Amino acid sequence: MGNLGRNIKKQRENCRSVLIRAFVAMLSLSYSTAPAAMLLPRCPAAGDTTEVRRMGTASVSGHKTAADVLATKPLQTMERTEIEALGLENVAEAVKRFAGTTVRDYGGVGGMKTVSVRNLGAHHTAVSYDGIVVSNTQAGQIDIGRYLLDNVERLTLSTGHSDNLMQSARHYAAASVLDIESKTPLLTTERNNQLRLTMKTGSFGLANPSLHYDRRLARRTVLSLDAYFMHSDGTYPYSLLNASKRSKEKRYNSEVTSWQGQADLRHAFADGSQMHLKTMWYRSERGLPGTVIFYANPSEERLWDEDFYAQALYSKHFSRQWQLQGRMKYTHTWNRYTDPRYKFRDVNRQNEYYASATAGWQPLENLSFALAQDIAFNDLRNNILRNVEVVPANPRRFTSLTALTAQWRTARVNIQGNLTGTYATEDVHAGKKPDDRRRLSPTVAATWRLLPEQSFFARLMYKNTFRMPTFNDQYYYRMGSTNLKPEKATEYNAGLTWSGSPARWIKYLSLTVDGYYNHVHDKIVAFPTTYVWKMANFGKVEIWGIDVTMATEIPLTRNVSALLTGNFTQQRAKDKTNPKSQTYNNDVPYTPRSHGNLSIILNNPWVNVGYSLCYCGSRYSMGQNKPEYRIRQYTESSLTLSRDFRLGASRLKLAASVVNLENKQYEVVKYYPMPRRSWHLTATFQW
Amino acid sequence: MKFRKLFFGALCAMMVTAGFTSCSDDDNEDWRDGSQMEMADTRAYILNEGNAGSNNSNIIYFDWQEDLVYPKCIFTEQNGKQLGDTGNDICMAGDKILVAVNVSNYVALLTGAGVEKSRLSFEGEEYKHLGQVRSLAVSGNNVFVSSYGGYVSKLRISGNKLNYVDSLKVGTYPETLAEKDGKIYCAVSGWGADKRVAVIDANKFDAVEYIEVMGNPDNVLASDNAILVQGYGSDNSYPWGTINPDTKEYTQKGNATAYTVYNNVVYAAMSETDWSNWPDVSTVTTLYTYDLTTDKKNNTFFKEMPEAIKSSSAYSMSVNPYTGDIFLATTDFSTDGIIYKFKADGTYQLAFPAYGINPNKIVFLK
Repeated sequence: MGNLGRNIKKQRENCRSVLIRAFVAMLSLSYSTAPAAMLLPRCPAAGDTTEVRRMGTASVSGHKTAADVLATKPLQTMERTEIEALGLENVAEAVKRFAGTTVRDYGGVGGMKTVSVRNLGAHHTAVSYDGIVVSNTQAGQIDIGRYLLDNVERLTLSTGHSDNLMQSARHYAAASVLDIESKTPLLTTERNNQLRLTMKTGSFGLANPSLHYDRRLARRTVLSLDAYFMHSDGTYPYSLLNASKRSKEKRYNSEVTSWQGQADLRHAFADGSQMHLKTMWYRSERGLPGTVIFYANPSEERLWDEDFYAQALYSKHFSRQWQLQGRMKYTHTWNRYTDPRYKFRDVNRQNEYYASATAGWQPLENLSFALAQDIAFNDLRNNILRNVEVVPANPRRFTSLTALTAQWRTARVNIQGNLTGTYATEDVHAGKKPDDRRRLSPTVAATWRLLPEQSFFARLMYKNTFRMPTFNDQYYYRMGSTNLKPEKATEYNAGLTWSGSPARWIKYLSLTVDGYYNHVHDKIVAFPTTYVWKMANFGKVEIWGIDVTMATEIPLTRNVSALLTGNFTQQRAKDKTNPKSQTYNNDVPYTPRSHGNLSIILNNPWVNVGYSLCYCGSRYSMGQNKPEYRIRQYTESSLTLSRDFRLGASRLKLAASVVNLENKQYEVVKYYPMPRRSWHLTATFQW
Repeated sequence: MKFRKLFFGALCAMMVTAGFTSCSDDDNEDWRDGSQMEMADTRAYILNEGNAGSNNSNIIYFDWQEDLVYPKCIFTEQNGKQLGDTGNDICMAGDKILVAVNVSNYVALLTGAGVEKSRLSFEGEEYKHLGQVRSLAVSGNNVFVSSYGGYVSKLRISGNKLNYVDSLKVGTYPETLAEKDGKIYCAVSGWGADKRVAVIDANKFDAVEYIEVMGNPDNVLASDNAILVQGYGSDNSYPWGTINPDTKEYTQKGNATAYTVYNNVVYAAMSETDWSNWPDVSTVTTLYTYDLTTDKKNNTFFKEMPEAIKSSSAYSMSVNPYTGDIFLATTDFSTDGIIYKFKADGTYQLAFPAYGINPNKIVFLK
C-alpha cells in the first residue's frame, strides 16, 4: 500500500501533466463526465485502490491496458500514439484491428466500410462521436470509413456498453459501441493558439490537405476549427481469377472527392461545469465501383452525400453525489444515388432532432445510479425513380429511450445493472404504418478482482438488446414491410483479465481472455417469396467465440522501447433458421472462423517504426457453404516510419507508410477486390 | 469424370463414376468437337441464373435417359472460365446452344457439348446503347435477342460464328421472345409500366406491331396454334393467356408463376404467398395442366407430388420433347434449386439438386 499511496500523491502533484488526459479517460470508465468535453479535469479522490491501479498502470503504459483489464464488459482502446505510429488513415482501418470485429470493406478509398462486433451485424453497433451517438434511421448502418483519424485522440470499442454511467440511453441500448473521441485542444500548453497543417498524398491519386486551428478565446474557452479536403481517383490495378484464368484488370469508378468543415467550442464554467458545442458539414461525391462482373464494363453508379449536424454537450457536477449531463443534436443528411444503366435515381433527405439527459446520483460511497432519457424525432423524405412512379411513404418516427443503471462498486467487486426501455411510434405520408413498439433491454455485468494485490479480474456479462427496423426495412420500394418486429440479440460473456509486470525487462503486460455466446433471432432479412422479395423477421443465428488480447511494453534501451499488441478471435457463427434449409448449421456469410491482429511499435529517438499484421481466415460469401463460395484467407501487413523534427516552437512530423507490404491480392467482400501494395506520405506541421 | 445419380425421393447424393459412350442413331457427331469430356447423346442443360452480382450463373449437364447429373458447371469445365452474372436464357439452334447472360451482357454460341465457339458482347461502344441482353429466340439461322435498352436485335449464325445484323426499338425493358410462323413476339414489360407484346417480322425486321395483353408481361411461348404470354399483371396475380396470331386478340386462361407448353398442353405452377400471417409467411404452390385444344384445366394431372413442392416457390417448368417428361424447378432464391421430374403421364418420378441458384430453364438434346 505504501507504493500505492505514493502513486496517489504523485498523481495529485502531476494533475495537470500530460498524463491527465489518460487519467481523465480512465475516470470516464465509471462515474464521470464525458471525456470529449473535458477541458479542466478534476483531481481524483484518493483511497480508491482501483483508481490507483488505473493511474499506476496509466502512468507507465497509457490507459489502454488498464481500461481493457478493469472493464466489466470487453473494452478495447486505441490511442492517438498508436494510430499515428501505425499510419492508420481512417476509423475503419483502426477498428478492424480490434478483436471480435468484422469490418465489411467494399474496397477503395470511397468504398463503404461497416463494423459488426461479434457477428451481431453492423446494425447492432452504435457509433458515438464525441459523446453523442451518430444516427442513420434510413439505413441503420454507419459508414465508418468516412471518419478520418486526423483529429481523433482515442477509439474505444465496447462490447455491450462501456462502464461509464454518464452516457446517453442510446449508448445503453446498443449491443456494442464504438466511441470516437476527438482531441481536447490546448490542454497541455499555456499557449493561446495552435495551428496544425497536414498534407497527405499517396497511391490512387490521393490528395488530402487538412487544417486544424485552436484558439483560446478566454481562459476557459477554446475554439477549434477544422477543414478537410480529400480527393482520390481510386483507380487501382487488380488481378481477377475467372475459373483457372487470371487476368489483369483495373478498378474504375472508385473516385471520391469530399470536403469537411468542423467547428468546436469548448467552455469550462466557473462552477466546474463544461460545455462542448460542435458543428460539422460534410459533402462528398463518389463513384460506386460495384461488384466486379465478368466480361462487363464497370459500374456507372454514383453517390452524392451531404451531412450537417450541430450538437451540444453539457456536464455539471452539482456535488459529490449529483451530476448531470445533457446533449442536444440536430442532424440533416441528404444523398442522391444514380445508376444510368437502369435509369435509377434516388434522392433521400433525413432529419433528426435529438435530446438527451443523464442524471447521476451516488448516495453511498459504493453505490451509484444513473438515469438517462433520450428522445429523438426522425423523418425521411425521398424521391425514387424506378421507371414507374413511386409514392414515397415519407415516414416519421418518434423514439423515447429510458435507461436506469445501478452500480455497486468496492475495491474488489464492480457490479452494474441496466434496464433500458424503448418506445417508438411512427407516422407515414402514404401507405401503412407499423404498430407502436415497446421493449425492455436488460444488462447485468460484473467484474471481480480475484487476488487483492494483483490486477487479476474475472468478469461476466449478460445483455439483451435489439435493433429497430430501419426506414429502408419498412418502406423500401416493394421490399419494405411495416409488420417487422425488432431484431433481438442476446449476448453472454465470461472472461479473465490480468495486468502486471511479470519480469524486470517487461514494463507491463496485460492479457484478456473472453468467451462469448450470442444469439440473434427475428433477424431482419430480405426474404424471397414468389418473385417479390420482402423484408421479414426470419433468421436465427448462434455465435460462439473466444477473444484473446495482449498488450505489452518492453524497454530495449534507455531511449528505445517496443510496444506490442495482439489479439486473436476464434468463433463460429451458424445459421439456425430452418433445419430443412441447405444453409442450416452453415457459417453465416462473411464470418471467418478465426482472425487476428499483431502490431509492433518501436519508439526511438531516430525513426519510429510501426508494423501491423492483420489475419482473416477463410469464410463464405453465401449462406450455402459450397466450395465455390469460399473466400480465401488473407494476411495484410503494413509498415510506417515516422519522425518528429523540432523547428523552434514548431514541430514537423513526417510519416511514410506502405500498406499491403506483400502486394497480395485479396477480397474482404466477394468480387470487391482490395488494392494491392499502396503507399502514403504525411507531413504535419504544428505551430 | 464424376456424375451423380439423380436421386429418388430424398436428396441424399450418391456419387457414381460413369463414362458415357455414344448411343445415338444420329451419325452427326460434330457437337463433340472440342469437348473436354465424354458426354451422352441424351443431354440436358439446366441454366441456373445464380444471384445478381455474384457471378455464379452456371450450366449443369445431366443425362435425361440414365438419370445422371454432373454436379459442376459444364461451361466452366469445357471452357476454363465461368459463365458470368445472371444467365437469363438458353435455347437450341439446331445442334448448337445459345445462352444469354444478362449482367455480363453477352450472347454466346456453344456446341452441343457446351464448348464456346462465338460470343457477341453488348458491352462494346458499338452495341452499348442496346443495353443488357435478356432473352433469345431462334428462327433458322437467325437469333433474336431482347435487351434492356429497349431493343430486339437480330443476329445470324454463320457456321460457328455469331454476327450482328440489326436492331429494332420495341419499348422499355423487353423480356422474353418467341418465334412462330416467321414472326417474333416479345413481351414489353416496362418494369410494370407497359402491357404489350411487340410483333416483328423475322425476315423483314423493319417494323413493330403491338398487341395489348396484361400489365408487366414477362414470358412469351409459342404453341402449335397460339402464342402464350404470362406476366405479373397489374395486381401481381400472374395471369397467363393466349394470343390468336390471326386476330391479335389476347384471352386470359389462368394464373401461373411458372409455365411451359408442349403438344398444345400448358404445364403450369402457381406459387402464392400467404401474406395474412406476415411476417411468418408461407408459400403454397399448386400444379395443373391446361389443354389448349379443349380449353380444359386439369388440377389432378400431377400425381404423387412430394409435399416439399407445395411449400416451395416454382421457378420454371420445362418439358423433354423426346419423352414428354415434365421438369419443375423450385427455388429459395439463395441456395441450390431443386428439380422435380414427372413422367409424361404426370406421375412424380424423382428429384435432384440443380447445383445452382434459380434454375431458369432446361433444354434437351439428342
